[in-house]
Amino acid sequence: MTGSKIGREPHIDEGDLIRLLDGECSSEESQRFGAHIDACPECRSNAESLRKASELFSNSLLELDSDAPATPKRELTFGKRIKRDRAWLSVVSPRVLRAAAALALMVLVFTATPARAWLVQGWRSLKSLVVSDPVYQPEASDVPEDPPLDMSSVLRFTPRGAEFRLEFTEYQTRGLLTLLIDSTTYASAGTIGQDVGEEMILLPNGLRVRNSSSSLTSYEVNLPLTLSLVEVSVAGNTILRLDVQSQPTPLSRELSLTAGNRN
Amino acid sequence: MYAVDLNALYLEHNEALTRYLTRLTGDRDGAADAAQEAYSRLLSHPPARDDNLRAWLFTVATNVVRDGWKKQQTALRLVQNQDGVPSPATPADPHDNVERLERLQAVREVLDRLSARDKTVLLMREEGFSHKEIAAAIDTTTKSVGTMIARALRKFAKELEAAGTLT
Repeated sequence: MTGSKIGREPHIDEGDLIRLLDGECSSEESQRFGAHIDACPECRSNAESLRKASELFSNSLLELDSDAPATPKRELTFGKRIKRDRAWLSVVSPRVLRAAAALALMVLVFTATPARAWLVQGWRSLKSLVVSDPVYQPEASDVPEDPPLDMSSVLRFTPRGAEFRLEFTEYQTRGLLTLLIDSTTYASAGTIGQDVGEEMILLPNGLRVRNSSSSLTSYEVNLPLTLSLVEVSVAGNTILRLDVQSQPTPLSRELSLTAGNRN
Repeated sequence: MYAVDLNALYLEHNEALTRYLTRLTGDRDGAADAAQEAYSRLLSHPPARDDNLRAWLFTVATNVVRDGWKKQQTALRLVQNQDGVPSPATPADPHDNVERLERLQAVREVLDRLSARDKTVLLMREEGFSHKEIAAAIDTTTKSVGTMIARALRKFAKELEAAGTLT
């Protein structure tokens, strides 16, 4: 820490704020910086403006990318990869949640073979519909060795305040689950169940899970206790806005993802 | 010595590598060439260890781009009678939204005004590389990467704001 001080505690310099935002700090540092940010409006403001600048940069790149010819292949991997072979493993220490902002933007994109997407009509009547992904064409490298499972999957979505459990209650085929979260909002996630070789990727602004085939995996996502609003969107379309704190808990909805429901 | 599975590496990393290089150079064809050169060097001069070939590919491709920039700058100095730098921009589609095109152009210009090092740092971060991996790519200390990212982000936001593209 450098710079001027609040009380006896020096302010966090911007390099350390970036390290904190990027999950590069040790747990001790995360705890210390998080506690400081909670108490220091100046550092909180700095962290927020850096988060906004980071978001602006990411969005600007995406805009530039959209101007370029479409790439023929799906994005498969990037970010830090963490292999998941155990029942529960936290990606980010829950302590870093203290550093989180009050508002989280969560974009949930689930791409499964062959189904992708939810359509949700409001919180209280949450329901889903599978739409096919006309763009997705499995590549040779993306086809699981065992035959694709052609059966329905059920994704159980259980929000409990600032925690979400996304649970697949039936076997699913291979796919990607992406949680993009506001960059100052630290999320931890772990897998529960019979996951075998799940690959969890920690992105700068969220999490990505690459499902193995035949997986019966659940994901438990922990968001900050200060979280008030979550936006869920698929393919850029907002399908759900949740005022989390006003919801009675727990609520559970099952979202059917039917493998045979292709266009 | 390990065996390089170029096909698997290509399938796994090429899209991200090409995206990174396109963002770095603003030139899709140049990005593909730089990626190709990185794969070629992987075959001819593979790293001693194969524990992080992804970072190695990105670093080598970045160096290929940097070498190209140096050659371009030399060529530009030799062509003294040219007015300005040739624009890589493609002709605008008349059906496209003018404001959007202006904004995209501003983003590209601001990105190009960042130093090569700042741009590399931000774009590698965008691809999910750790600060340690970024530090290795630009030959600096891990600790300093956070500071470089913060400074480059501030500069990008400030210049984009000055360009009048932010509401």
